[in-house]
Amino acid sequence: MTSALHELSLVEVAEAIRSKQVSSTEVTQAAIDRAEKLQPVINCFISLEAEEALIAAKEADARQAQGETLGPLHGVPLAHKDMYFRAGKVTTCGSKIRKDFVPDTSSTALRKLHAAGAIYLGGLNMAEFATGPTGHNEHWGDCCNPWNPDYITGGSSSGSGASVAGRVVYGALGSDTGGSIRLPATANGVVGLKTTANLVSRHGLMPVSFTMDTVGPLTRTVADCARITGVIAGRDENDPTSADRPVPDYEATLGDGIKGLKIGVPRNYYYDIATDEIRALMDDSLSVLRDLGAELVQVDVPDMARITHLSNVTFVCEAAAVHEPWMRERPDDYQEQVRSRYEPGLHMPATAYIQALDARPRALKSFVDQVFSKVDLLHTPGVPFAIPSRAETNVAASSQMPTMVATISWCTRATNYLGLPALCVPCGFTDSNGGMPTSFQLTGRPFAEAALMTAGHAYQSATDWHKQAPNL
Amino acid sequence: MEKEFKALIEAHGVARFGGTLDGDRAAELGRTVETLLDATNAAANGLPLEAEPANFVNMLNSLADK
Repeated sequence: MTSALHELSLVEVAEAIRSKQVSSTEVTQAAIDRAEKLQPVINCFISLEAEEALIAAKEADARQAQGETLGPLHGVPLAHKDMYFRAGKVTTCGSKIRKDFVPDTSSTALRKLHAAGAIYLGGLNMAEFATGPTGHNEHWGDCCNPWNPDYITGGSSSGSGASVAGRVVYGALGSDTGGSIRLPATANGVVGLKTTANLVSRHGLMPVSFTMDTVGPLTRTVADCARITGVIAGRDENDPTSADRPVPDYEATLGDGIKGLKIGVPRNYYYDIATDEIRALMDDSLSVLRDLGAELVQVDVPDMARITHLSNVTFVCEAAAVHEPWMRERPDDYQEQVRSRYEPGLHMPATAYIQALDARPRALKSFVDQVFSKVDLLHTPGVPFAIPSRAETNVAASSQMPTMVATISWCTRATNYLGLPALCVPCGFTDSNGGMPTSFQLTGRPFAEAALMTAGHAYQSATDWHKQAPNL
Repeated sequence: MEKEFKALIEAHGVARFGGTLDGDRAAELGRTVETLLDATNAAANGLPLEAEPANFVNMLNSLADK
């Protein structure tokens, strides 16, 4: 094996384990060594479970030696945002309030990954209660970007983005309620998939805004993303909202190509606050897609500002409903910037929440009818400006906070209200901030994950942004 | 603004609310709530509540590629 173990993609290392070029024990030990080396720099873990992971890796090797049928993730070390419950194990949710919380149930997504053979390496850093687009965390320390620790990782799945970009783990689950997978994917230069609402069971996932929360992976490549999504997607009787639909073989269609695919370029909203630098990088990525056979079509999108407002109403009401008891009993145990995001929900009349919910199916239909009657996928920036530093976004609960949240999540927030899937794919680096990553975002109609990943994979077959890694 | 919010908080039965809600914080909170309410009102205009609103999950399924 010529590449260092940590340089391999998830699919590559799974194949290397399957073909006995390398053992799960070796791979997991290498991941542990790298985690311990990088933890002081990027602080991507809340809990690194090295001992347990090695035991699991040895068991994985033993089962393989006994000729057991191997799952698609056999022996591959992954780590996940520390909000996925594991029965009997502490799940902090990135908070002080839950620093000793031990759930009595396990997340379905984690159980599926375990059943597929994955090794659990640890719980990853995150914004407190998955509320925050930057990765700041006063309780557990900020997660830092492996490309430059002075810059944000994005959030709230900060550790997921940083650990995958830092080549510590081969993939990580995040969660996305307004951009919390896509923002760290963009900031760290990795792939991130916000799944269609209800594609993946949310049983055992700490709720934030329970009608908009989604489960999805951050990975080094789109092919890796397809592997993990295929494992975690599907109906779960423990989550009655989970979609009762057959799960496609996402890997099988990756190589289908995009000849004739219509990719929409929005004329309104998404570029309203975009910098020239981002526009140029988006244009470059569109040129690649066009050269691969896609047809680029200018489209007008509905009033996304209004949809974002409705999303915000939904978020504050649902999050406040989840947090009201703690906000009453332990308000000082929240970071101010987190608590202040929920506070408006305690003052919203029920009629406003009901109106926001009532408008949702019609907003979804309006968006799909207007956009996806003309194109197959919509291409936008992931973040409309260069990734900012931790210092300039450390605005706590000041009057700058709402603006900071709104602008960073400009291109992502409305997607969750609409329930649509969206994939962020790294597409270059911005000069204005010393060469930090950025990405484009593809959005599709409901359950279009396969189409998103086919397009993303085609792009990655023609470019090498995803092969570049921070020098750590 | 600060007095209004303190009264509102007490009326809601939330005894403590983020420690001291100073004037700036209360004003910011008020602006946020106002913005959200205005947005909801705008969204509701021209979109009357449906007697039996379409189920969001059913709408997702119906709009997927067949």
